[in-house]
Amino acid sequence: MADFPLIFERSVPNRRGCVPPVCDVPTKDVASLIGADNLRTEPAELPEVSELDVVRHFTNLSQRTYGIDNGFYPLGSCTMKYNPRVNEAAAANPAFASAHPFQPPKTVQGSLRVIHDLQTWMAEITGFDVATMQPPAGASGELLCLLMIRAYHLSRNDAQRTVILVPDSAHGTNPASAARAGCTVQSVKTNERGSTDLQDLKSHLGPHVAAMMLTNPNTIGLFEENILEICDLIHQAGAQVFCDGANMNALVGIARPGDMGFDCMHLNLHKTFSTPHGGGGPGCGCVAVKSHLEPFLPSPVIQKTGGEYVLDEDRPRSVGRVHTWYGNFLMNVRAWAYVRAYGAEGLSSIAKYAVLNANYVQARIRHEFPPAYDRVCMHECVLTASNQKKLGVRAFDISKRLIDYGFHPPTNYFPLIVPEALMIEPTESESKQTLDAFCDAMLKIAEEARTSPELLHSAPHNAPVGRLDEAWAAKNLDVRWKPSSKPQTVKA
Amino acid sequence: MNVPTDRLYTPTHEWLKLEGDVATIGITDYAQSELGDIVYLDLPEPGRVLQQGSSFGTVESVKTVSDLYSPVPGEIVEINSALEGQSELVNSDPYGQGWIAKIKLSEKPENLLTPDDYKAEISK
Amino acid sequence: MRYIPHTQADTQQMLGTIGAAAIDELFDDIPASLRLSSPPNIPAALDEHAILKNLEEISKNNQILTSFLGAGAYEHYVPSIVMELVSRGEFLSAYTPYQPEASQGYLQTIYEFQSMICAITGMDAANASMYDGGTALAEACIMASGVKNRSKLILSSAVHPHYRKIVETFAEPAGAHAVTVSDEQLFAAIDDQTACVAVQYPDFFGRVRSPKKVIEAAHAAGALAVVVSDPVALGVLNPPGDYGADVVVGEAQSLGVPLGYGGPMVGFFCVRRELIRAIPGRIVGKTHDADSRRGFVMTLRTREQDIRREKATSNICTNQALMALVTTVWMSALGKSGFRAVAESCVQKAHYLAGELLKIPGVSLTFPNDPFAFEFAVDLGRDAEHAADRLLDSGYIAGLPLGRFDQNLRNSLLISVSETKSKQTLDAFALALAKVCG
Repeated sequence: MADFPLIFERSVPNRRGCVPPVCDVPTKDVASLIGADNLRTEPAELPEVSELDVVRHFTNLSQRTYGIDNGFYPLGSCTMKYNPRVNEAAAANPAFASAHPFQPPKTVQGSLRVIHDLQTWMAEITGFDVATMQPPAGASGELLCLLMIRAYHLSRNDAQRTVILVPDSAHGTNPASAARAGCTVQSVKTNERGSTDLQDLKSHLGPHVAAMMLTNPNTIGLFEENILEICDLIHQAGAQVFCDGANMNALVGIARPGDMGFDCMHLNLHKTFSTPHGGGGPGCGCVAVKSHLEPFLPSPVIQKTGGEYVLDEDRPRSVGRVHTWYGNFLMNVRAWAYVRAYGAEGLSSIAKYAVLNANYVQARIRHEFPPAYDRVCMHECVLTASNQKKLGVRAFDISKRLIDYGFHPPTNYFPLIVPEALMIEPTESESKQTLDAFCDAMLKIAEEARTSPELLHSAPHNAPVGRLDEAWAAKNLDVRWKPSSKPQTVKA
Repeated sequence: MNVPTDRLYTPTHEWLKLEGDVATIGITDYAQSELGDIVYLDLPEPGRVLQQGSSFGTVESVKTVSDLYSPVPGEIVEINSALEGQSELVNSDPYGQGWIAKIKLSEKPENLLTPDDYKAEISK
Repeated sequence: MRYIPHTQADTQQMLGTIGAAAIDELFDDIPASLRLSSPPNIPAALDEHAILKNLEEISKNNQILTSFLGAGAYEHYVPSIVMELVSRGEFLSAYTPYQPEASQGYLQTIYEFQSMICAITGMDAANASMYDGGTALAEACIMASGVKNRSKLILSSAVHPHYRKIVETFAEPAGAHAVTVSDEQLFAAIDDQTACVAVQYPDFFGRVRSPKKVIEAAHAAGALAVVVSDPVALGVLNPPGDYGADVVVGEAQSLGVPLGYGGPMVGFFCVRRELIRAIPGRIVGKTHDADSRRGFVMTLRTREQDIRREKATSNICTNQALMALVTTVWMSALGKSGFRAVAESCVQKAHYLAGELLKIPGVSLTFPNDPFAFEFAVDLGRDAEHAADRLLDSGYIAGLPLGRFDQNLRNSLLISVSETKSKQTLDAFALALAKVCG
């Protein structure tokens, strides 16, 4: 079978695609207008294809892509829930979509209202005093929180606090954000119940600790039972507690991190609040804080004064700016629509059914794939392929085989402390029937691991391509197409 | 797992072979098999002075990165230039063509593992 | 509930399998004192029709006006096929292609994005996207500081003020410090502690000043040269790569992404090949399967936070993939000649409007000695904030008053013209401005 062509390989010299608006002003020689020395002589090598070529190319590429709209996507830690289409319709409204970020605020009161509504609701839902929608993604929100915590300590002449504690089960963004905040990272152990080890935590606390970053429920999908004591201990040591809100889908409407003692948190609107993941982004990393951190919020802060929404840029203690504008605004419109679809009374059903679904999957397949920690889980279950590993089959092989059965694989090898992890997050969107089909496939694969492991080692068999050689890609870097040449390789 | 008896080892899975006051070092068969396909090594220029146990580079597979620790104190006198572009040599011949660096000893190294000790270490 | 499919029978059966009597039991790990006893204080639920109706009402408080705003966010024509293709559910509802065999389509679009961005900027490699232009510049500066093991970051004062603010936010915690200097003092500021020099081309004020000499001076001092560019302007201008830039970053929103009140937009990040292992974010590379079929995977993954953790090149995880896809479809739809035509049309229309405005007594170019592409500053001979405010009443957002960035420029307005403005629109605007300035 021939390779699926690149758009460049469909290109024919002098073929034209879409036609831009006519130039109806008297024209002059472009070189004379911009300076002859500046004029680009070789046009950029973009493809030369017809409009229909473009439609077919990207339609076919979409069909070589698996999304939630294709089927079950239980990618743990990512909350791949249904992306309601009313959200898309709302965001397409030209009055929202075409507003320029430098427009005078009095001409964009509608946009500012949406941001203000959402930041108010997010603060209420999470139990904090105030929120900002400026961070464009979760990692950006984490880093912003650490910068605010740092500014807070500095404002109290407590400059020696440069250590950030993260659990050994934490997302990689936590230590990476800590490093970006100029801090060093110390790892806190997880105990045999899958919770933070209090003794180990105590041994790390001291006058050098700036904050602890804690995901709750944690990345094993378990609620930190001792959260009140953990926050107390950290506060007694003079440090702050940041909540990584990646797993808020388990708590929304049920409990609030602000009530647990956290000082600040971030949320991923693309997880809990249903905005589309879009193949890797855009996200929106809303940050909510207690009042003692409010002076440090990024500028501008959107406020309502006397019935008018304003951009408050007079923020002398602000940590600065973390986005060129006001964050991923159109994601706010989508999340606004989502929050209103559930409303105050309905919000908790999101968490309830997300938790029900995860426990159902765990209960149905645990005899083949035992949980890493044997507890009632929250919105996701972390199972292991420990039985299969004894047969020479890895979590990775199981994931590839799931593709053959028409499912997106779960997250593998995370958290790092769980060997052969299969991290399954079904979300509340999925019906019992879908979960049953998935569990049946998992059980079938467990059987295959015993009877025909080679099927798993060489999977997938029904995908557009077989298992790809990632080592070759890393050793023979080819990261761009180049005109009229043999395949180029970059030796780095 | 292959553990040749003509050299010494570290708990961090490096080997060294002494010839005069120059130690040839590399990573063990066990280390390469745990890492999987090695795609890149980040190595310093010769001339760098190392303490025993100090990190002097990294070895990368597709999805992991591992620090390299010097099993001896001394100065790097040679880096295996064949590994640039042929990192797979570390997988295919870790004790031979896949050697990583030569270090001129400044002092006697301490606390190295014998082949038997190392075998015991990796079978834990 | 709205998006939850469970029937009562389903729920009962599932609880039976789990061995729980009620869903509430599954939350027993949460201390009772932390369980909410009443719903959060947010508005009640709306049906789909009411949601749209409500948002429609709210949106009426946004005025749709004829705008000459640019300054880092540009309105261009977007062919109908672009949003049509990008909003396909497979693209919309996929995530990061961690399982390449299930994501070949998306991975290929990212490879095509990287290729097209490199073609426009004249660089060797691009990543899969950054959040926006400003954060892309901050990442470039921090990368330079790490690569060069130097701490001084020199920013031209003609770099977008918000971009400079973002660099300042992130530089100091990362162990670097940013200094902003005028173009005239740039050369004198470069020293042996300089990690990078960043200039914008065309600059924030629309001026086209060749970055060549700055790039040479940066290299002579052993620093990296970082150029911020608008990709549409590069349709007619020499690519920064041809001048020897080490890093080219910027905002790719102008390639077909809606303005969206500032987001989601999409930053791009390009480097010379020697720097590829130091760059932030995802990179897609070509490879093959066991049957030699071509395929694409995320590569050089060991730079990233999920593997390298605190030693990662950046903390970025989620990026702006969907917006990168918008630009990829837009660039494909316009193609080689269409892309050039868009850029040239902007240049022609901007210069036509400038010519018309200069006929107004008292109006002059703020920077008459520098050529411009399609964005220029005019001195109105009167307070520009005031003039812009009056033009608002005539239905125009006349441009960006520059006094808020520099008091010396309080009479200046930064005006951007795109191919979407007809001669009739430009003439009418010139007339309206003449009335205000007359």
